[in-house]
Amino acid sequence: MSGSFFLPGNGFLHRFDPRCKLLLAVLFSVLFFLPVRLPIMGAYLGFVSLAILLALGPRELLRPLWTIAPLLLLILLLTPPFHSSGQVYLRIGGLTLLSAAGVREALRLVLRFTGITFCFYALLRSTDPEDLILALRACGLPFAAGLVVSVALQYVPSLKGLYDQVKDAHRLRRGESALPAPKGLRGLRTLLPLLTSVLILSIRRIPALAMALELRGVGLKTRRTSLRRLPGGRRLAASAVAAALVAGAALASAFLFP
Amino acid sequence: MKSALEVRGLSFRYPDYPNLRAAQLFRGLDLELAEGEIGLLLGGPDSGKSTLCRILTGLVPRFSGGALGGQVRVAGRSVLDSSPFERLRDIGLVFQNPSEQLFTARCDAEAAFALESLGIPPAQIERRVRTALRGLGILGLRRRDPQTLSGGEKKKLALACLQAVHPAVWVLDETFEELDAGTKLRLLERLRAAGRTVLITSAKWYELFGDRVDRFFLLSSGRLQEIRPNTPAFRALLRNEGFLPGLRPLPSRKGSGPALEAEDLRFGYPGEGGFNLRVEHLVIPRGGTLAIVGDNGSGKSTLAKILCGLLVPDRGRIRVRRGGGLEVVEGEELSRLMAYIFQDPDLQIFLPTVEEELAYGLRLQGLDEKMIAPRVARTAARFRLPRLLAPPALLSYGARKRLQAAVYHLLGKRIVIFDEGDSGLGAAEFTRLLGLFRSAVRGLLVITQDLELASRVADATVRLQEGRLA
Repeated sequence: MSGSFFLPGNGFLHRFDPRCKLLLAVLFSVLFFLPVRLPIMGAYLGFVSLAILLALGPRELLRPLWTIAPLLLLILLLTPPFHSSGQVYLRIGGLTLLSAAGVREALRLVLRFTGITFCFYALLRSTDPEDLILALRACGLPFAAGLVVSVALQYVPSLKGLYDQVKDAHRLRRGESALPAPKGLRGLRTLLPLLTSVLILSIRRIPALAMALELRGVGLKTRRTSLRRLPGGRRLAASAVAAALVAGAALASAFLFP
Repeated sequence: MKSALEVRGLSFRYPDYPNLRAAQLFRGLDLELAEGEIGLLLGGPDSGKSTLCRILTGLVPRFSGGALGGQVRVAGRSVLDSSPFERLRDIGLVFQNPSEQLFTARCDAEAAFALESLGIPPAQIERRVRTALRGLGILGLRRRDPQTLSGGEKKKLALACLQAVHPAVWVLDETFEELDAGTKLRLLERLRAAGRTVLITSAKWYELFGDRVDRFFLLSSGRLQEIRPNTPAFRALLRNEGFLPGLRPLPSRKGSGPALEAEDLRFGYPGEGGFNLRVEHLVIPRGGTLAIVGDNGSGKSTLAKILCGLLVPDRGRIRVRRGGGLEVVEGEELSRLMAYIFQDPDLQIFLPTVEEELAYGLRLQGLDEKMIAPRVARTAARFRLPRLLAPPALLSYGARKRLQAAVYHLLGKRIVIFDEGDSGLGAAEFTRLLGLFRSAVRGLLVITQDLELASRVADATVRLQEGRLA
């Protein structure tokens, strides 16, 4: 069972200062929301994809893409009919299903959604959660808020782990003479008891988590120290310079080619 | 000697919940441990050991509600006058289920967390964390995500968290169960050498307690009494109260040949520090019981998951007796034949009532409701479960383990695997549960840390060591 997004490694994203990574992830997320031209947005996505590819490998590029693929497909299918201006490519009766504006808008949403997903995937996959809390605190977030973010971030993969275990438990509940598991759309109905079980189990963990936190001193007014320290010196300077160059180039492209 | 832990006239009752009316759990309970004393509190399943541990650490009734009477003082301070986070240096607790108390993404961060809360300088934290992890033999796991550890390793990590803070009073809630024999012994000796006050609760008697524990208590029917060890009456009490396995081994209905045979199994976790499982040959005897023992993290649960089709081995085959002979079975088909009773019961019970838990598998078989109801009621009685409408989440750990076993008993699987099934139940109750299964299944596999129990309930015992059968 995996309890964290973090993938230990030694690539340049892992060595990059977490504070700089966090700021770049936020900056690129904002840029993906700006009404920039599609080629610029494509260049942003290309840059983030290249960083993931070089630092984490091709499998790590496909993993988030695979996860969001159903949503991307829905965006590609459902967006064009709502934008009918420009050259029409497909019309049935009086209804324009595919036009130049529809294609542009669908691409914009796909690039935006994929870009933001990739930004945070790269951040979480290459940053130890403990370093992430430190980075958040360095950016002015109080410890309690940082802890909430960290626990929440771990909760998502932990829910996935829980889902896998519950799925195993449900699978073991099928005896030799159990009816065959329904397939296709009817099989979707079997998801309901699974998801309900995961929900119940995750809610049941909350009081235990609260007890565990108090037993480890959450609530004390003492100024917290930290076993881990974020890198300083040359590493921080190199990261800051690289982050400034990337941020400068990204901002310049957004404002020079509006 | 100065008192470190003092309980006077303690009474407690949980609040009532719909379909689960609470009974008075403790009445006029007294307990005292002097500084440096190690106390052992023996109590059967559902006797209230975990509740008592949580009262001592101030978690109950703070997080549970309920009516508490009497006095509880730790290191001279009443636990009712302060919050748990203010007593970090006074008292610490290892939960019965350590998964519930681990919440960071790395083992060293987990052990450091409380020290960071106390504002200890980083260099000192580093030293104390390393010492604590090394002391428990898990320094090599310091970068691992705690959720990926085995049950026993999680207990070691929870102990390391306590060791790092080193509070005046340690409360260990059934911590010795699921720990390998070497760790149990080392832990007790370290606690003795450290001179801390320790309260250990257990549903099982381990011989190593005999000359390493100062005071012995029995918690039964809401009352606590001090008992004198090493007397004939004490041995009789251990047996009568179910803290030792029965005198006679369970009768075996051994047939000829294996119920399950695994050959040349190989399995490796990707990115898990190179852990590899390699089992050349393993047999669960027909009508009999095989026990697997081994240190924490040796791969016992991984092997169990392969045997019941939840993990696919990289190599090898599993043959199960069906009809007249052995047939190669894999994947989902294997899961239908095998029952695997997880170490952690909470991962296998998730429905709103005991009745729904028990009936779920029967409904999947398409059985008529008229046939389901009497079978559910009969099974609930045999497994000593509370009211059918009771919510499982509010049952005691022991009752949840019995419910988990009852669910699989109803499904009529051919082979049943108990993963640390004795933990939280005690030897006698676990032996009784095995007896209920023996007459109904073709083979049993018992994973345990208790060699004595293994020798009593199993026809054969094998040891797993670093992924290999020794």
